[in-house]
Amino acid sequence: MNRSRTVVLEGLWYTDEHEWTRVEGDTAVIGITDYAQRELRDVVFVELPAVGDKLTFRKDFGYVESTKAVNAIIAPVSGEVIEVNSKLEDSPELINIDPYGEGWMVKVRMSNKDELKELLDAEGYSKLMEILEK
Amino acid sequence: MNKIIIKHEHKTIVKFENDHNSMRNKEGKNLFRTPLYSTHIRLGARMMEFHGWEMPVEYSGIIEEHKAVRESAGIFDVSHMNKITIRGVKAFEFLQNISTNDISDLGVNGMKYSIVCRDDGTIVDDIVIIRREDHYFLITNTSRRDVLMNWLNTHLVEGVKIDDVTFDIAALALQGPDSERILSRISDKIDEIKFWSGANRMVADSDTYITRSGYTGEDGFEIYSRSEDAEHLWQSIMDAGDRGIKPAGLGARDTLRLEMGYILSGTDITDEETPLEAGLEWAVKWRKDFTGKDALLKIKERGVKKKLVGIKLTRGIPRHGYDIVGDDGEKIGIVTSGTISPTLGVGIGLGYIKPEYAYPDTKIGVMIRNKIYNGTVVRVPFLEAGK
Repeated sequence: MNRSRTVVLEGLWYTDEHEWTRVEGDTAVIGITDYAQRELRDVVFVELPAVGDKLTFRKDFGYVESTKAVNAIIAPVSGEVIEVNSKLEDSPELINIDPYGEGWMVKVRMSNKDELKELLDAEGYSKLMEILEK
Repeated sequence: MNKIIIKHEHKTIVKFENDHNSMRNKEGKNLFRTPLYSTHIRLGARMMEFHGWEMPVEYSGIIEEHKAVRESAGIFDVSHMNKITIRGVKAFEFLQNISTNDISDLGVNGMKYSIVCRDDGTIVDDIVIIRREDHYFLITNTSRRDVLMNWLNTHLVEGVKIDDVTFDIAALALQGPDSERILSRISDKIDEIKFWSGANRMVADSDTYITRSGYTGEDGFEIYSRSEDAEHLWQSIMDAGDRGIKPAGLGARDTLRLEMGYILSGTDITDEETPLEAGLEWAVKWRKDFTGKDALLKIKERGVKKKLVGIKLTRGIPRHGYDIVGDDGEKIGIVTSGTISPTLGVGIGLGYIKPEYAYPDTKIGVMIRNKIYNGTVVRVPFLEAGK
């Protein structure tokens, strides 16, 4: 088993439910964290919204399944989906291999940037990791 | 992320609490541990509650463990399985009467699959009966432990003695194409043990009873020993194994059995079904008398209202409790077990559907989060045994 430290990247925003978002202007790229993919182990199926669908802050917008479990993915921000990572349909394991890169899920045009203030920064999320991984 | 508890999925992962002597379930009840508990913790297993037991769900990962069993070997702790001895001058008659299969031709060290039914034909549990020299040894399901023990005890007759030996006997399963080679390194004449039969053997200097059987579709052995020898046996088998051998947990046990279309009592068969709906008529012998026979004959004549079938989806994973739908989206059945098939890479499952749809290649759908995922009814096993 991989006992190395969980990766938390600087410059991203995090939910305490283990989603991350990278802000590029008005666009937010969204995925699940290294901690989340480790907890899931083998990601075998991902269900994502379509381009044009609306995400609502803190509401489910998709599902990620491991061999044994189904988990809902929670929206870290509100907005309209402008791009979906279609590679995940055939290669859901990209979430395990590269959760912050190739494993990204959706890009959203944010409708309320103030919501970002409610998220954790890297420091805050690292503190949460310290508690969870004790 | 939010964990979604699937209807009837009793396999909730619970965090191990160091402050307590053992993990507790939601009701605060202490869980049973097998003699291999410390071994699992040492190996970094993810532990979960399984019907009152604290069991390893996975070590290195379900898919990796699954592939180890298909390609080389895996070792499972199955000490949680319910184990019962039946003794006495009337033991044979008792077993013939309370279960559907015919054990009159069962020789010493032979084993048979059988089903315990109620008077109305519904299933109490499915069981494996092993004939030992002076008694019968039964392997039954953890999830049905209380229901079955209660049933057996209320139907007890004079000349029969039933003992629950679950906590006295440890059980390991060594499964996979390399099993015989591995076990032969630490025991003798393993090749002489035929499929679905048992034998006494010394394994790494411990007394054991070994059956050539399993729940994976691969060649393999189930090894029964005294509890205090379990850790030593586990380690000896791991040491005798090639690099390909891996500890495997209940997660892989479930994906392996599902690829073979093997049913799980308490999940695919419950108080609601009889062996006829569940496709188990092969284990029902009409030539003898048994509890539930009259009811089953009536159902057989009238025809069943649902049948257990294998289903395969193009994409998506069927899971317990999901609806199976027909062409118009109308409900025609329900999924009882499902998973991704690590070998085939697609979602597979078992479920009950109306008899008119229960034919291979029938197009069906499975309702997953209000969306229909297309699939077909398929013949089980999903894989050929040993492939």
